[in-house]
Amino acid sequence: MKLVVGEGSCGLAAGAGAVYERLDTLLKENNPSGVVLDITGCNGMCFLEPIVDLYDDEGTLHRYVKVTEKDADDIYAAVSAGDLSSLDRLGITPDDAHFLEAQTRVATATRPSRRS
Amino acid sequence: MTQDDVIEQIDISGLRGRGGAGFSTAFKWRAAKNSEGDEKYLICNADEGDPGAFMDRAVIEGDPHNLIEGMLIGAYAIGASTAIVYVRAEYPLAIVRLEKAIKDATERGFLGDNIMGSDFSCVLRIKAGAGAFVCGEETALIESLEGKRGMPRLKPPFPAQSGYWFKPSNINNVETYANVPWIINNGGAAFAAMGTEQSKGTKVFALSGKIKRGGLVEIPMGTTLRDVIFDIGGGIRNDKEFKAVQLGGPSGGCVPKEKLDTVIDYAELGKTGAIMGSGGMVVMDESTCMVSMAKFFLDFTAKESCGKCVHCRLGTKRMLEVLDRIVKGKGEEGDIEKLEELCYAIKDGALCGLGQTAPNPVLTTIRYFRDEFEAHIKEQRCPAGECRDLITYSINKDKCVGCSACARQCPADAITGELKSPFTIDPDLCVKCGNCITACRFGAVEVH
Amino acid sequence: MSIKYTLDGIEVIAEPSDTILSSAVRAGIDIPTLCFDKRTAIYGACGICLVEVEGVPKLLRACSARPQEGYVVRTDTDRVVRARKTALELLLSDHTGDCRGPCKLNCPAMTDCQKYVQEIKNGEFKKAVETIYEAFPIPASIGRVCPHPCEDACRRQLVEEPISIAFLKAFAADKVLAEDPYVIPVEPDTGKKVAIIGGGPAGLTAAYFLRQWGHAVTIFDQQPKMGGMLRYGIPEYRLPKAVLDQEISIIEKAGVVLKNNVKLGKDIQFDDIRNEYDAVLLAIGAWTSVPMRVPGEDLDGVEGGIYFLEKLGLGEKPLLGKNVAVCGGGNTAMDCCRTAVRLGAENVYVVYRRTRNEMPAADIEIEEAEEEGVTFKFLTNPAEIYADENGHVAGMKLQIMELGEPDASGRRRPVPVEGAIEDIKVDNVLMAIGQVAKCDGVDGIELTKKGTIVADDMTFRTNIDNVFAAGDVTNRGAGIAIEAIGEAQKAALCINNYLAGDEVRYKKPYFVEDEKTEADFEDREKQQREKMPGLTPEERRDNFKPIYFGFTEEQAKNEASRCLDCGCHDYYDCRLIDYANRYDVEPEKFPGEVHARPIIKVADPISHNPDKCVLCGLCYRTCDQVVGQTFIGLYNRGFSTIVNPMVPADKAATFCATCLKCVEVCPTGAMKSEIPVMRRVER
Repeated sequence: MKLVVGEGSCGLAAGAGAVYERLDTLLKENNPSGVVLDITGCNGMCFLEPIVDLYDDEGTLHRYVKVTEKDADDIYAAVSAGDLSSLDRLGITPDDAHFLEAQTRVATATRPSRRS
Repeated sequence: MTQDDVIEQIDISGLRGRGGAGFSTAFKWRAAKNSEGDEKYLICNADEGDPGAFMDRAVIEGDPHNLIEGMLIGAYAIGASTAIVYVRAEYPLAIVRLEKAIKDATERGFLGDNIMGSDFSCVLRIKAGAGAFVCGEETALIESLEGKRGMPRLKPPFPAQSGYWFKPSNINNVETYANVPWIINNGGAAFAAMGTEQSKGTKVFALSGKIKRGGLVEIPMGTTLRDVIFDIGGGIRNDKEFKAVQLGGPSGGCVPKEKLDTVIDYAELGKTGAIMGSGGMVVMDESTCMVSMAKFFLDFTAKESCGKCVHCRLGTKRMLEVLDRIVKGKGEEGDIEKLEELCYAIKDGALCGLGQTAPNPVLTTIRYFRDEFEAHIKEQRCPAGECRDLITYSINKDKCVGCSACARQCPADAITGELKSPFTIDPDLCVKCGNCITACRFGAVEVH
Repeated sequence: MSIKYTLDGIEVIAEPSDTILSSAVRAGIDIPTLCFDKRTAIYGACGICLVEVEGVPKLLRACSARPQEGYVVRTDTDRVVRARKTALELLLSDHTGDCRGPCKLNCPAMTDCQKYVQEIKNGEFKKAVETIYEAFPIPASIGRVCPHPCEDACRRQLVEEPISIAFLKAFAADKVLAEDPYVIPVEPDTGKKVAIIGGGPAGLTAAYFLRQWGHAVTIFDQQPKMGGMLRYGIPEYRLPKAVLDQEISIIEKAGVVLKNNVKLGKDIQFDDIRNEYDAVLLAIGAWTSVPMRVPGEDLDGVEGGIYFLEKLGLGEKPLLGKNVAVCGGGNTAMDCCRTAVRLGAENVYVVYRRTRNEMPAADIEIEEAEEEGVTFKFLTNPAEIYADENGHVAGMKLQIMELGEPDASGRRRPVPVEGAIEDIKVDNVLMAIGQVAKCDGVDGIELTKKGTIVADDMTFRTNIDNVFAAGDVTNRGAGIAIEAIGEAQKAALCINNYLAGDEVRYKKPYFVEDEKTEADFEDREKQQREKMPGLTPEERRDNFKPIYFGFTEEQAKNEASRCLDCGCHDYYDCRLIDYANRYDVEPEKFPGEVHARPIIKVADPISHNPDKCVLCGLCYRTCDQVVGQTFIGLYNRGFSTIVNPMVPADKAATFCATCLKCVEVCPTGAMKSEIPVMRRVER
């Protein structure tokens, strides 16, 4: 499982830094399932920042938007409990998702990032 | 692939410079390649000075390796062994991320000598800007790279013949290079399959302003402005009326409602009086004063003018002074005509793109919103209700319940009244900060 | 492989390395530029060299654009003119300069007073006279009689008193007349003939210029000798006729034909003159005295003041009684009353309906008249002139007046005091309340309501095709001599253009002007104005000897040394003012912020005036690229850009080579050096 926090300037301006720090602190304390925490750049949905992308063990992407520092705790709890249903409220609406879906990405195509 | 093969693919793709000028990338690369000399430079213009543009920033921060790859391909194509990224100093995060990416790439053998075991060697370094919008102009950028005052050079000679240290140089925008790896991987034809006849591929826009969903939007050329703003962008915030969209920042122009179906294409947008620009797309609603907006951009260009040429240095200043008078209600009969004449003279006489395009916001706002200018001048009235000197705040006695919330928020002590009775605003003390509007829960504060 | 292209229709050959400018320079065609010098890299800042090339959408800078085979280049299209004119107007909208001193700007004939005063200071009297002759040909006469608007504007009065410009002019003119009279250079014959009707200051001036330009000129005048009002209006004691004769003979020596005792309408017919000559200038002045409309006006002994003075000009000595009254308050009235004193009248009265403050006559004239014993009767107006039994003037009843509200001219209107009458015994009454033109013998010419000839302000043309008019006879009527001279100067230019088939128009030159206050000259040491030596009132009141002796050479040099030398030292080399005039700029189009920055000390002896600077960059580029010192550079950007030394003041001497090249190349004189430098740019 992988948590990726969007840390482009837009995200940071919206408070992504604090979200990352909180997740990092919590995971450092206790991370039995070996969740990987990483950062990524801006995917263009600046109006929804901070964005936390969660890749579950099957590799499916769950996108959480407008995540606050307090929400970080909830994400950690849900991940630890293995039950993501409580995070539905942070999920992206189909309308908002249309923003990205309607685009054709070449120059700003997101590629999976990997921290070395 | 040989150098010519690479340029061939770029040519087929129809990629045009994404920094705003829209010049054929293949043409520039070929010109640089064919220039005499074996000391050549590949430069990336990451100065992104337009207010409201942040596409390049996102690319450098989020996908620096894409940029590096695109630049390396370009350097290979033209025969350069040194590549430089000129990043504006106001992007410290981008600089940090790019530095790391360069370090990582060098360690992995993607930069430096004999890249990936080939004959091709190339180093990449970063030069930070120092806060001058004019250094986004390619020849002023080169001067700045050489450690000199950022002032444009005359063209011709073009950088492809005589650029950095007067050696053949190719300068392209971040987004241009960011398209290159995809083109090489998928073939130029695939890129050309998207877009219009004259404008191939995709373009990234930074959608902002009074829009519901703001952010980076990349769409194929040929998409209408209406689709971008209303479909992808979700329309105007608070469901207000769309008024205009500003494209291209201080070099661009505004496109009004009746032109919303214009397709995104270099020529088509040019016909409206605006430009494609680097991608800044600022959406405005009925509460935006177009005269004030023109003044905002002139304020920017006048401050950023390098001062070298007469038309720009003094022309932008004088245009700004006229607009300033107009928004303050001191406009005079003949001001619009005077502005227009000055605009055309500046377009003809300015030395570089900054000056040549500085009149664009003024010309387009006059073209489409002349009535707003006339209202300011003839009636001392701001139809959008934005210009401070032309508006008055007052309290609607029928809506006011006398709760004093507004008076408590007023920084100028301009609101007085007795509790449970309608309050009044003293127009002589009012500074039009708008605090009262925000404080009132009954919508009793009105702007005229 | 040379390239052939056309520039404004002229074929130019260019080498591959040429720019449009460099090939134009070789072909002898001048393309204006402020920032180009071939010793420095092409800069492109001023935008004055912009040209339009057929088929090329953008305007090109001639200093950098390479011509291509077949290019059709034009510098006179609307777009080019607009771009160049705007560049100049923008520069001038933030340019603080003081092109020429207020003295020159205030002179109706634009005489360069500052220049000739400086030349007198340097002892260059012949040069001073040559400078005056650039404006008009009768300096000795005018220097004695002019009411000197130049002195009114002179800035020295902000220290103590204005420079005695008129007397200095007379001094230099007298000296040169005596030692080495000016010879008028005449250009080759053009084959054109001009008739000038009227040999007064206007006629003489126009004749002088037109003759210089090679035309055949004839002056017709009804009087026995030339001079007009100068001879027949101004008395001998103010302007000795011998002086006037000398100056007129210089004009005659140049080949101007003088035909006297010829009256238009009687001895010559207007239509004949019009047909015989290629152009005609009417400069017949205002020779009719304005009647006072007072009962008794037509009595024997009542006369118009100018007719009285005319008699003296003709050599007559009119007989006057013991008591003479002169009505009026202008210079003519002063001339009349002082002449009456000299002719032996015991009591001479000046009857004037307002007070001394409102008198239009020059203060000095009023003072000297008082000294000579004239009695001023202020606030009196003639009510009736009555006769003795022979029908000759015996006395005059005067209505006492008081001052009421101001009238249209701004002067307080005199109002009669009910029942207050004064009776004075007089034998002669001279009426000197004004002069008007009378245009008999000029058939078909359009007249104003006043009876003056309608002449266009800028072309001096009348309604008749080849007829021009200037001076007292036109439009608003009588004025001072130097005004008539100013008009004649411009009319001559228009006639010259007309004869050449060019556009007939006088273009008012543009100057950058500045305002100064007393504070600007606080540091000046005060030096009193030289007093003109002359006859005492006793010595002068019974004869017509010239009342002034003229300055001595020492006095002249002292007085001239008081001159503040206001105008810009670089006016004659300044390219900005040259181009500004070429393009008829209107900088008032762009009002806005104007810089007011202190002078920058660059390095001894060089200083920089940033408010005069046009930021052409020639100074710092020359320092950098030609001299290799890189001592000065640009600071700030946009409107705040400024040229400044790039090292602290105490290190300046180490870095500045004092080669003065930066001063040499400056197109406006913003870079200044205490050591004089020849301005020079290489194209």
